[in-house]
Amino acid sequence: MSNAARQTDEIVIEVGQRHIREVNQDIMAACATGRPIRVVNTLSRHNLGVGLPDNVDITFEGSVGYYCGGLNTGANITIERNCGWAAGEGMAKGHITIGGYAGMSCGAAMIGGTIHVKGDAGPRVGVAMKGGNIVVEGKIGYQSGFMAHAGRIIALGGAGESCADALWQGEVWVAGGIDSLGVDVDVIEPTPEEVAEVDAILDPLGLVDSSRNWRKLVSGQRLWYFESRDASAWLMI
Amino acid sequence: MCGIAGRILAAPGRVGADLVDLMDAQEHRGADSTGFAIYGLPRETGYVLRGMGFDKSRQGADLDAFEAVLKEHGADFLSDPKILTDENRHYCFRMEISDPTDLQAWVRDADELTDRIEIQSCGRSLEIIKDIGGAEGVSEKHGVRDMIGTHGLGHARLATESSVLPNASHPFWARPFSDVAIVHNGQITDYFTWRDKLTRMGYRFLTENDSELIAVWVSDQMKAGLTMEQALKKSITSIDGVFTYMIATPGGIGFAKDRFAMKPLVVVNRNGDLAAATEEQAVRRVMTEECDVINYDGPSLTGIWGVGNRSLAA
Amino acid sequence: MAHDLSKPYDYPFDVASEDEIRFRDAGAVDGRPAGVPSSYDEGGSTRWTPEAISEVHALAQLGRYQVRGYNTFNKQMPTFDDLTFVPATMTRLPLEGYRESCDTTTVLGGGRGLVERPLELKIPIYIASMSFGALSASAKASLGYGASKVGTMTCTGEGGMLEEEREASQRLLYQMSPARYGVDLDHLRRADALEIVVGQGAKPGTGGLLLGMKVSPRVSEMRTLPEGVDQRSTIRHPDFLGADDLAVKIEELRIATNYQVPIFIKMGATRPRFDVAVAAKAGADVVVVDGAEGGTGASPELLLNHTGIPTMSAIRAAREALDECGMSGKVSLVAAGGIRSGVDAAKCLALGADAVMIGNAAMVALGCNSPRYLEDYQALGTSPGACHHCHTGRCPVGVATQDPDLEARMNPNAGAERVARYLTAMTMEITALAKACGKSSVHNLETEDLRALSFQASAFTGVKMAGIDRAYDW
Repeated sequence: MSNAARQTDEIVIEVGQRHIREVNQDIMAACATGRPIRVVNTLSRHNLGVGLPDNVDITFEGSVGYYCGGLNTGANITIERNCGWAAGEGMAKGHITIGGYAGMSCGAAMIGGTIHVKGDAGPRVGVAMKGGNIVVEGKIGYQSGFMAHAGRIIALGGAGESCADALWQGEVWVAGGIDSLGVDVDVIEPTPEEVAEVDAILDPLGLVDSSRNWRKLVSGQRLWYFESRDASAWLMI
Repeated sequence: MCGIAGRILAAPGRVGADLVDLMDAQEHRGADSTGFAIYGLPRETGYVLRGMGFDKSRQGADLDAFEAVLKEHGADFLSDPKILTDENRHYCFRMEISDPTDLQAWVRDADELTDRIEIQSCGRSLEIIKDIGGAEGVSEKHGVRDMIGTHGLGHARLATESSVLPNASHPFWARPFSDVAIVHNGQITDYFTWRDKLTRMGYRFLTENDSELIAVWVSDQMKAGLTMEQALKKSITSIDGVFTYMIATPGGIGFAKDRFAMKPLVVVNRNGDLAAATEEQAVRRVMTEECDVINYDGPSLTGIWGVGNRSLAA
Repeated sequence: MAHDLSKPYDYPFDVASEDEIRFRDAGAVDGRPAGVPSSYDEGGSTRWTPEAISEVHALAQLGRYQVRGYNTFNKQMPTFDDLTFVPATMTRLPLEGYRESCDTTTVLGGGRGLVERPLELKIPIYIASMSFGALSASAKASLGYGASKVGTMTCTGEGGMLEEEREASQRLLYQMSPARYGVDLDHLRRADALEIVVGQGAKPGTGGLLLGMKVSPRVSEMRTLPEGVDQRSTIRHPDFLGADDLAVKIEELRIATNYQVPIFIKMGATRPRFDVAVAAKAGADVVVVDGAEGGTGASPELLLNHTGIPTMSAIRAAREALDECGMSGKVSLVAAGGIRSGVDAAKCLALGADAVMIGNAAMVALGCNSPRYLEDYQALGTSPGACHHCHTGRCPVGVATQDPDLEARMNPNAGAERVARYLTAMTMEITALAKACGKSSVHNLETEDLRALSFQASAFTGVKMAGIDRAYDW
């Protein structure tokens, strides 16, 4: 049902109750034109816009379901309202903006690019992430950053329970309250240089605020090794 | 491993149709069987029973035996039982009965027949309909879309550790507590321990399905004096495993989520017009315009939604 | 979160030295270290054997469970030798073992008709998922070339896609482990099939393990991990939490790969009767069941020895599960775990597998436990034939290591040829048995072609007892 009958050069793709394979074929065909894409009547359907290529500008009007923008390789994706689980999972490159709430495991195992959540994020945001940045204007949920390998999760509105649980080398930055810390977390006062790095990520999003009281959460590294000196640390989990 | 749904209407209406839509949208989460718990307009006296017989060739003898037990407890059919048969071996029934002298004693005796005929719900307003297959199929067979009521639950099942039998489908009735039903997404990992404890206390379980436990567990806690809210909260630390479950009484629907935040629950609540489901896209089948969605994504959450101004006590 | 480590316990005395704790102080004897079974003599006790005593000493020294590679040492595991074939004799006619042909073509993942490129393998055996990290890069490449020569497949394992392996392998199964090391779209699309791992036979219910000695700069980069860290992987996937969500995830992967390649689900054998049915219903094209005899590069020893069910029992349960839910023919079944030869593989096919995969056996073909570099085996406290020290990264023959000097000990070209010859020989063994049983295709081997030599094997598999021709039954 794709048609280009709008005044701009935008391609409009209808979702409704159509088969999701067909919808994605339309999206991929539209990507090839280089024109902006607007996906409408999304009805929180799953697997919209999976594996999108570089140099694509796509907007999902309304809410989407699971894995929207998953495995993104460079597209600029806007989700106007909420998304379900694991938006942008495994993405390598690109930018995803989520206008509302991001469901569980947002940015799971992502390796690059930026996800910007304007609302709150659910549990396990940035779980197993390997790179890139996730900026959440609201609060991040339970066990955020669980076993993150690299990359930054930046929460401007506080964090829920078990924050930054069992990190490898990822960082969780929190402005605002933290309900509780996860296992093996060190809380660090960031240096001005480090804050400047984070502000450089926030700046293009218009989110810099010098009055923030940052806490930077990193791995305590007590779960990194099997050595007997650390064996008791294993009882924490 | 399932999709679940709840629906409360602002005023009595076609709750069955909405639940079918909610479950149809979640059929990919489990197409082994589908079930519905629907709270119709409550009767003053008497109960509606829903259930199954396992061998349609023995239907006449089953019903005679069932009637005999009913009469022993001072009750009788209020109308002829409605029997539904198809190509399957099992048959389904809907019965209206007058009040037994002692409801729980009657359930205990009636359950002696469970190798042949099984009561799957008993209530002044509750009716549980469940069968093998997807939402539309089950609805068509049992006329779920036409059922009128105030609220209800739905369930699509991906059978995990128990059989794909119609009676192992959800929702489960909190045997022998009338008008209590449950749907559950997840797995209970200390199920056999709890089941044994409750069995020793005199409760009876008819399936190997872990979810059957929860309805009885919560009802038993409430019987011991806890409010529903207290019982829901207690379940989070008492029952192990991962779960999001919804439990319904004539007064409303309560839910609880495990301490690990594993199984989602998405809710739209517009002043008592409420739809809840595992996935947002299901909720959007009945709330088609953009609306504010509440994601109960965190750990150890509970909540209760009332129907109108009814009391939540079962 | 059981313990608050901010308040460590202080003894009212100094902590003893490691030498004192580990029995290395006064009275220690060279060559008899505490905590190793060979240091103890067999006594009269059937409970406190050398193994039991050394286990307690080891735990008391380490303060943690022991970790090792290889596979189960549990003596109660049945062996495939408990089953024998009953070839055609009078009632059936055999095919000429040295002349007539027997088809070995094996198609995986085409049963649902959903994917454009089902896997067509020339033999019913492929190389199991062993990661770059667990194995050296040249070992991975050798496996790839060897498998390609005989028309079959290798699997990346959880360490990501190694360029050398992609180049070497005509068909490559790309594993998506829960930790998602190195997973990106380009690699997904360059794979010939995807495998979602929910567990493995060696340590079901637990994630992968790679000790720091093997987390080399290259491994650490591919897995985005600190160099030298003891890598313990997750077991739960980050973006689905159950078979119900997995159904949605599989759809995502199909879209990402444009419905080109089959999707495998690999699991450790625990409750296969339920687990396999659930995997099939969640949408897998192929289900891989890895029995408790399955090998690993490193695992807590307790999991190797005391978790999971034997491969032979898992195959029967898995096949029955697929039959019961109407998925036989739609979903392929691959079996693994402790398969040492074509004979073992043929028994797996007869029990109901569509194909088998070999891990340990392929490593042994590469040179694992070969009788060379004896002094290096001795330095590890072991010897050829007894080595299970993959976890240390000090593999004397250069298969399971990231040390460049050790890796150089395995000639990759010779390794590839050995793997190819071994797979060829295994296939000949399977066809020899199949033809003796009168089958023109190895896939027509069936349970009726087997008899059990032990009550145990019969009870585990439902195979009829030899002579009495009834399955052992209670």
